[in-house]
Amino acid sequence: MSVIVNEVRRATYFDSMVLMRISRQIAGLPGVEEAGLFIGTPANKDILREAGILGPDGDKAESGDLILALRATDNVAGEAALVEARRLLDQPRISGPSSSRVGSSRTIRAAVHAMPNANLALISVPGHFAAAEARKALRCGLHVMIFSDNVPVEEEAALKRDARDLGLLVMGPDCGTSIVAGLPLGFANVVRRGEIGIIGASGTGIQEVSCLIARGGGGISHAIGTGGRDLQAQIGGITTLMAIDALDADEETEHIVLISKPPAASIVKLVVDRVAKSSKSFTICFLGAQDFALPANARSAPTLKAAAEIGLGRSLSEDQLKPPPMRSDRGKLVRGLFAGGTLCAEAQIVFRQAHLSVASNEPVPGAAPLHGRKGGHVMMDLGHDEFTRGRPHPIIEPAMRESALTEAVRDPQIGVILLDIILGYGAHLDPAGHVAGVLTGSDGGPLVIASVVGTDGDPQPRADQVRTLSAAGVIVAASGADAAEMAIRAIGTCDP
Amino acid sequence: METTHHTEPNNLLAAPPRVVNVGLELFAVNLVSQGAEVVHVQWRPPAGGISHLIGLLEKLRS
Amino acid sequence: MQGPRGSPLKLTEEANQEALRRILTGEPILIDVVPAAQVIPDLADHVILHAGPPISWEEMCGPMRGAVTGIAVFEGWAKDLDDAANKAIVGSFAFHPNHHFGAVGPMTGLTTRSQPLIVVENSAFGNRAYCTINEGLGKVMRFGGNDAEVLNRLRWIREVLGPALGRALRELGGVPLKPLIARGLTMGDEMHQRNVACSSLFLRQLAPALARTSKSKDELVACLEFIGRNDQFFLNIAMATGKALTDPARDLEGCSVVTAMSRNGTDFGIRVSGTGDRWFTAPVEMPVGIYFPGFSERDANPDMGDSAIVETIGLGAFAMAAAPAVIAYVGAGRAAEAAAFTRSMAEIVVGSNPAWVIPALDFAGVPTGIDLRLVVETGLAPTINTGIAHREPGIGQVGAGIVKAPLACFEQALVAFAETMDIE
Repeated sequence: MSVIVNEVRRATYFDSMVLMRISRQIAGLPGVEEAGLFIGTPANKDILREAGILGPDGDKAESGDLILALRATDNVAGEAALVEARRLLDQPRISGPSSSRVGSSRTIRAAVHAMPNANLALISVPGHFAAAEARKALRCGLHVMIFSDNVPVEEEAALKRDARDLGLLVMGPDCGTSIVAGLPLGFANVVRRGEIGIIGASGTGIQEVSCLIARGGGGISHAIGTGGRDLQAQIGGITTLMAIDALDADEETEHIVLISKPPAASIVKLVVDRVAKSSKSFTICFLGAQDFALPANARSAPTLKAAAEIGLGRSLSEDQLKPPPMRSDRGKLVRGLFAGGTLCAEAQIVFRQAHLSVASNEPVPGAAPLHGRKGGHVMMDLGHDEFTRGRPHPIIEPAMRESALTEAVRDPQIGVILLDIILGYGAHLDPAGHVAGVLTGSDGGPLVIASVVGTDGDPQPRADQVRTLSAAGVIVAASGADAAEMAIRAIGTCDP
Repeated sequence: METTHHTEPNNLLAAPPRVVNVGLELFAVNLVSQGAEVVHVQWRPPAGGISHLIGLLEKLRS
Repeated sequence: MQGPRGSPLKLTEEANQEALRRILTGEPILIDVVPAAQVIPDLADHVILHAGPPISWEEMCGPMRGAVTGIAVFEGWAKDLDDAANKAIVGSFAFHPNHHFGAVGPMTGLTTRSQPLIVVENSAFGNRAYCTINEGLGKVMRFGGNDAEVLNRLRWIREVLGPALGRALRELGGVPLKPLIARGLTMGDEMHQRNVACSSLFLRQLAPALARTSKSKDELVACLEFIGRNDQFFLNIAMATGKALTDPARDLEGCSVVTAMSRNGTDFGIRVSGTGDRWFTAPVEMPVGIYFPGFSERDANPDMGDSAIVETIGLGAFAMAAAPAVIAYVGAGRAAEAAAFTRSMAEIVVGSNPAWVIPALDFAGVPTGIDLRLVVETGLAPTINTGIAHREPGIGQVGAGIVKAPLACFEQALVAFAETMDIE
């Protein structure tokens, strides 16, 4: 009979990455079925409740408390695991050499006092608290980038309106990537500076386009993340419009690329009207959407690759690489396992353009939802909330993709596996190595085609990652769109 | 001792930002390794996360 | 939420700036030493002022009770210690906080009618504050000592030292304390746990006047020796200075600046300007520090004394960066940690004091004006440097360390403070 064990530490806070690491160590202990260490916010309590490890003690925890929760096979295992969890929490934190050079404060106010020329706050606290912290930053005259998600949409709307009144930019919430004046912020890549500006509702979308442009010989002036909901009606594109104003006025920028999922018609009009007023040229990539009226200074791009090409003003070298033929004893299904949601969307779009049926847990218009379907091509967004609540994102921890990959390799119906390998600051230092390790000894398995989002300037240089993948038999395509097209060529054009 | 000043978005883009990092230490470490100017805020939930106190503080700041 | 007085934020910010201004522009002068009843007329027989917020005999800790029985005998209100204890039990004595009568006292902090009190006048605002004379180190009444040795020393202080100091100070025209404290900060003092520099500077200034006004050479020698061997002599003067500087900042509408922090060995109490004379109390915390040989946490008395008034004006733990040697009292720590304490306290204050600067922090002024709102928001409770008394009366100091003001005091205070602004 399993036992649930909870312990609550009042007024205790730890970085979510630290807690996740400890959670996974505890979950791996003998006799432990499930474990989670979380700050007691309502959203986190839901996660623990759904995982079946929230007991009455944990339920009483407040937002400033730390919950240690686990389910074990018996009391002995549970108690031992709790003891180990306490030990790991109480260990002195190891400060690396670089972190000792960072001045630190307990409040934004004190931080601005210590660095009076500060002009941007990067906020990655639990979503429950993010808007309040952003407000404090705005009051100190700082622009804000909110990495946190789970911020209520009404709070986002109010925050962006107030920021606009102050002439300050709010990038986010749920903004994972920005690049400002050449400085990568959050999860971003090292890309050459140049005259192409990017405004993106998607982090990985920004990453792919900025890397493709850089690898294609171009450069990025700035990449401004707007957060995933900015172009929803309730927000009204406040940040997108302010970003257009900013890039319009920026001398470095000559061309602007807009990246987003297709917004509602009224918002499309809002954006397009503003674009029309600019003297600069635009590429509008509303992923998958093509039927909207374009002003004279804009072109539309259905995919991230197309957006990069229009921005560069030339087509990126067509991938000459012909994939080796699939084994005849395998099925012809394609399984995409994506860490980047936008790359998952792009792959679906490429398949739909080729008139192939495709399903996904995050289907684009024209693709089917997953549930109830058996068979067929499937594109999985493994970075989506359902997989990442309470777990590290696969960009940070490739092991999160491991079981899906292993299962796909063993599935005789699957002829091609599509992967995205995302590099840059914040990403795992050797995702290619991890994939190579999983694939070792899987001869006779499906073709594995990967795109590698990154540059040679990244902490994990792209050329090295490509080499590691190639040595493991992975076919590396020049872009996400190219990978999807290669997969289509590999299976022929038969609809399964 | 809070000051507000109006900053045009262009001031954000004029030079690499000087960052106040609130939350994940990883971001501060990455920024430092790129030579950025950053101060890390060792964030804790305000008022120990007690919601009625947070509410009072918000109203007192209005 | 804009009331008739305008926004709460604006009201409080302005009130806090005014409170800070008043604290910073105070001019504390040590002008005299006189018998307590002379400056606190309410000090009749059987009235005993104590450290900390209000407390009854039943609630008092061991050292406080030891001091009470001792002082009752000293003042002639009881035949002996047992008689004093019986009288206390039946309610013969009236206990009041020092703070209610313009005074402060270290540790047990007992103030009674015949004891000589240091008088510090804030010449910028005209108010005065009082404190007993520091008895010295070892077995003393402020740690609950009450035997013949303790009482004889108190008698000598009353009959010889007090009057001698009074004569010398009047002859000198008073000792300005702000510049003296400023010098002490540059010499490794923080005015709570470490007062040796200020005590020395004070003695240097006073000695000629003492010599001129002394009744006899023996008396002069005794006074010089007594003061000269007490590294903590200046503590009581620093405490009276703290009260003299904060009193003008009391009772400002909408002001969230803390005007007093104090402990009675059982409860910790704070007062906030905007909520007037209300005490917000919570059980004291145990100090964390190092112990003299032969003693340990088991022997420690809970936190006690009005000396936290020193932190309330930006000294003590708030100025720890000036006194890295104090870190040794806190246990194995690096000198750089002293600066970390000061920086941390800078996050919960309104401003800093340009007259009291810390060379090691690039001459930054000490963090001044604890803001109730910031304490609650950050969860950073004010840190206090303190001596640790033995829990049994009469044994004395057993260690030194740091203690935090309980957050509960500030949380209660915030609710009451918000109510004064019609906010719930």
